[in-house]
Amino acid sequence: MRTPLVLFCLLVAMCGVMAACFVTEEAPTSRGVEHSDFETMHQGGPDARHSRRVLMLGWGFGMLQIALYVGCLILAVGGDAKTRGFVTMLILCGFAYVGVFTAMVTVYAQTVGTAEPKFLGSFPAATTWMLFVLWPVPLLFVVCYVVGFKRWVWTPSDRERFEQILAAREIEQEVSD
Amino acid sequence: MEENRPIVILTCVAVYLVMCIGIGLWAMRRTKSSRDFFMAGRHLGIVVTSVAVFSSTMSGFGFVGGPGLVYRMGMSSLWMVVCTTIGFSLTFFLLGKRLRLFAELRDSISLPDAVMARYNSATTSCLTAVAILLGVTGYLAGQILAMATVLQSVLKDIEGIGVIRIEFSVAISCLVLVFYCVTGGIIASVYTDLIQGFVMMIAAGLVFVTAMYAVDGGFEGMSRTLVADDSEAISPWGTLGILGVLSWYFLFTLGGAGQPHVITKLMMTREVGDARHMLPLTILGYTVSALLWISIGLAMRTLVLQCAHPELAKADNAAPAFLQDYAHPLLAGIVFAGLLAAIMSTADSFLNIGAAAVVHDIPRAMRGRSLVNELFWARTATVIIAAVAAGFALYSGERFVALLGAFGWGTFAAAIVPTVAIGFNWKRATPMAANVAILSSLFINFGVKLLEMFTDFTIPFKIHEGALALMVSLTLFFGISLMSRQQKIADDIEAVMEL
Repeated sequence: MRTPLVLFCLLVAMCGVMAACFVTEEAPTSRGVEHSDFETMHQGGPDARHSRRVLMLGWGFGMLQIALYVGCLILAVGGDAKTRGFVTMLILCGFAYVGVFTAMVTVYAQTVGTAEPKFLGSFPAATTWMLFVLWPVPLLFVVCYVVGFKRWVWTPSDRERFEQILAAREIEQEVSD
Repeated sequence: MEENRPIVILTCVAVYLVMCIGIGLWAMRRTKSSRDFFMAGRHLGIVVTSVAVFSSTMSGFGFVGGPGLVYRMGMSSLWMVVCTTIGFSLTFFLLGKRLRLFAELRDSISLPDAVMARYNSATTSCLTAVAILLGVTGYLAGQILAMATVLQSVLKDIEGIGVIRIEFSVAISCLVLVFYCVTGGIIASVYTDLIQGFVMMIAAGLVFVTAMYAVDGGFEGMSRTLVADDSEAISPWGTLGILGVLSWYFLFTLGGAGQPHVITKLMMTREVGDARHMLPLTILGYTVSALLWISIGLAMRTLVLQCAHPELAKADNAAPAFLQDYAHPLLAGIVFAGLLAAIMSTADSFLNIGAAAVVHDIPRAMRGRSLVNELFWARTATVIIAAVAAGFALYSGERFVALLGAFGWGTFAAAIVPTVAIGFNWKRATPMAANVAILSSLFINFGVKLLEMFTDFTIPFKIHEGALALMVSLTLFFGISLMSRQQKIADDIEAVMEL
């Protein structure tokens, strides 16, 4: 009961962020404009289009999304005593995910208004965070799934119980036929 | 080999198409019932299902539209790729076990069948089938048009053939597609997906290396050129901006668990436990294939900005232009085959679930029983759906196809994520909440698209209408279910939901 209620609250908050977007003034280049030399391309224009308010809305939207995803994962594994260890692992991974997203937005925010972004590897630092940290960080959930599968997701006792349910269903069908 | 480029490309494409027909004939011998036709008898192995899942997700969009979007908007569209690690995780956590259990328990052969079992409501099952059918028609029309365009561009450089009419191109591509879908049903579909998936991965890997050497300085060279032109294009948000991009992230992350052509495959595995290995394999396959999306888009934007390549006539030409001018003829041939593969792997899945909706789900919801001789009618429906979609693609005009396309990913996401992905994991979810979620999904996706087409209305910051629809439908679904009294669920379903 608790997890669905939390998910509902997160969704209401997300709707609130969307509503705030409708009343936030947009810069002329906020969604990109046609490139000055090549008409099949777009340009983002000055990075000042990402004002403090827009960045905060974006950060909030991203954080709520991540919380919603982790909540959905917890809903899937069931939040009872049997899976408490698994849920704790998922929450810890969720903190890592939130931390990486925040770091990426912060690194980007620090470059707004500067002449040229600082490079980290082959890309601007914030883009490197996105490609090489934010993209792979949810693999932590994949590791949890693979490692914890037999212990929490599909246990031998689950299998046994399912076979009993199947057998009961077959008997029920035979009787009704 | 360079002077025979068109012939080499045509040969690769022809070999691929013949292979599809061969698989269709082989699968025909294994398709003896509608259960085989729609569910592959629930005998699919781990690798086959994993590859089928990622190749159906990728679609022609990933190989043509994706590079085109990177060319046009910089990094914005990469969020559709970046989201896959968490997106596939959500799909497998929420549905990997649950859908497979429902399918075995109730012998379900389609998603609406499983919905019927969960909610015990013919209306919810019927609405799910209708949403699927609407989405399928729109998506399929787009895929058929893309398939025909690719074939047309392959044939246009062949001496003695030249530019052929689009109708002829649609006819050839549809014939191959329909042949293997009709003869072998989902068995042919998933085994062609297997070939298609491997072709896509090989093509993407080779293209990635080629793109790296096409620009001086490799990816760093590309980045420096893009920064000098417009630093926002190579920032994490691309030209679209943070809010628009994060709406895509939301839609494509959570929406993945609502794509019927993808999640239906989770019902077909041999063992429930197979999901454990399928999740990492699916992510690996998709990531490798997405290298083409990223590398071609960045390379072509850079080459045009450096004036090393003339400006493209339209952004979607990024992949064909790159292959034509920078790839070895054999690689171009493999990628063109990969391109057709990407389109067909999605189209065949749509045909199969569309046929299931017409001959199985809607009749069962309305009459309480399936059609007699379901296998025959499934094959007939496959042909009819393909013909209708081809007709839409050819004669309804680009605007109408685009409108139907709006019923694609966004509608599936907003209708099916609450009803299936959440509802199958939460006993309190009610049929009424599911019905409202599905209807709101159709209403918002279609309504916003109509408004944007015929008025000056746009959503602020170019937030995707599908993301809004998904958010609203999920909120309604949770809100209505929490406020209603819990409904009785069948004992066996309730027991399975506790596992």
